[in-house]
Amino acid sequence: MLHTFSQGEYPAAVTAIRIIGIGSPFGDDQLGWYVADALKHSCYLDHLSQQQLSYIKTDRPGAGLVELLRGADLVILIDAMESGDLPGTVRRFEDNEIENAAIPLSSHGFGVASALALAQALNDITARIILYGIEAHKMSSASPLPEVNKCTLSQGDINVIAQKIAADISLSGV
Amino acid sequence: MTETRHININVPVLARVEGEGALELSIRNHRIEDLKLRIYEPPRLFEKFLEGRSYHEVPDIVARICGICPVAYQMSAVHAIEQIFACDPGPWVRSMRRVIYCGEWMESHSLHIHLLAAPDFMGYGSAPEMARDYPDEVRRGLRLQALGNELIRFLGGRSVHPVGVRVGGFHHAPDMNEAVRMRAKLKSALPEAEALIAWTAALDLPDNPQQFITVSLRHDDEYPMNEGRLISSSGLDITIDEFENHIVEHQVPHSTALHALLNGTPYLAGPLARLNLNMDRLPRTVKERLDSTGMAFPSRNMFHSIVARAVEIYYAMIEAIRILDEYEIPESPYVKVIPRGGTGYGCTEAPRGLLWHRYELNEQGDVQKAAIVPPTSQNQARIEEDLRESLQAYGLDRSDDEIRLFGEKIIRNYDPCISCSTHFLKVNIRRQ
Repeated sequence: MLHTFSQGEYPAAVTAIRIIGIGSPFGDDQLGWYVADALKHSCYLDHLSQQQLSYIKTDRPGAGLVELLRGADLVILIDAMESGDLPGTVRRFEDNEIENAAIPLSSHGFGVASALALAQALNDITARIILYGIEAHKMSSASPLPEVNKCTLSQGDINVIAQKIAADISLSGV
Repeated sequence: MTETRHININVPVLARVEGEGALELSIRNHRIEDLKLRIYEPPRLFEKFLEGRSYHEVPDIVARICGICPVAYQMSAVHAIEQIFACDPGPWVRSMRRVIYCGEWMESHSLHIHLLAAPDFMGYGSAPEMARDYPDEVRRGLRLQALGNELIRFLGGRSVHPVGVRVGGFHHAPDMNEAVRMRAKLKSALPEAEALIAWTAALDLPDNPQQFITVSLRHDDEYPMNEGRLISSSGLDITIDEFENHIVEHQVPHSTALHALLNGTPYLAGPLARLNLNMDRLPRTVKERLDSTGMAFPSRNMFHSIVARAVEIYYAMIEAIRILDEYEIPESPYVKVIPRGGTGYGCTEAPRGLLWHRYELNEQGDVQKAAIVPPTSQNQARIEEDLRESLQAYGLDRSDDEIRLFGEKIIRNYDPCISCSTHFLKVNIRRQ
């Protein structure tokens, strides 16, 4: 039942650039965490110092996401996605695309899109926000019990996804 | 002639892998012929996950059941296990358990009031829409929610699925500086909680009195959280061990969530039930603040739940401050336990209402069987009963959209811990 979610829930959310993995400890919903981990432990973004870039993993932050965005210049959100594409497919959303694409399904109905819409309505957030959605296997009630908490993508798959996202981030001028 | 309309409110793209809710409504000759609140939840199976696990793993496992009220699951579990071990963790642990629970009430109620319920009563489709016109109120909600989360972190290490709770107490005692800082933050936020009570009382809430049974814990001299007898507005007064003799869960074909009935009757658990049954346990300052609204409690209007939540936020802050005023570093933040076999019961007041646990452990303290009855399960039958009465009174000649919106408003008012508390309600209305 235990997972790799770090002790520090919102560590050092003060850097200009923040990579935030969003998830929950269930199946492929952990993809956001795993990809954030893979980016952190890779050398893809080593040209950015710890003063510039921080990594955060958060479990269904709901409206708490607003606080994680505050004061940043650029925020990269990584989250599991369910759109019917092949598992592992990565899609990139920015600005209004997020509002249209990210439908809130989190606990008590306050998900990523709601949090971003709220931040925008409050005029509290000035950061550029890019959301990467990673297609997850749909978790069904028919899943065998041991599979419920397992991520279905391999570490190799996750590393490839992290590499793709890092390349895209670099093309974004970071 | 049969007219069937299907309204799909949303199609999800980004998934948190949650369930969904649907309301099926069949109307014949302007009367409700059939009404079903259909609930689909992700596979939970936690009671089975727990089997074979050691007692010391239980608090961390059950915390995963809910991201909003993990403390409640931990509290019910540790009390049940300590009952089996005949363990008394002492006054420091008892007080700190109230403090961490106060944090959970604050964060959960603040979220519900400001981001889920208030838009319904203010005439907005969502919290972001409301935030454009009422940014200060929404910011207040976010601040109170964040403060509640901070109070959970104070003892739990983190606010979502806290890790500080163990059987026998806590893994760690906060130092004095942390306690002083926490207390100061709570004190400085009291005016916001006071304003929140007045604000919720001033909302244009539907006048919708109903007859229903309320059930909550009742403590000798405290507003109930972790301990007490189970009482009801219909005269029930039992120990938590007797829960299953009176409250029975059963499956209905249209829902994966079990329905619970008290002696065969739907009942309400949650903030309005607690407040109605425990008004005399509120501290004077809280009672005076409630009286100043001019509202009459106990209330038979389910929509007064939002005021009850605001009152409980204020109470939680007053209570946490009272305890932290006398904070001392303990010799140990926990007592050692000696495992033994047996059956134990825990029942505490989650933000949404009674959360009852039963565990059977073997001599090594491994879980043989577990039973968990969450508040949402207990409120399912009451929600359907409320929907039936309220929609009939509202008027079934109204448009599908109007019926859908009012139905959603009724369901959200219970703050159910399922996706139907969001804006994902699908309504299938069959008119004949």
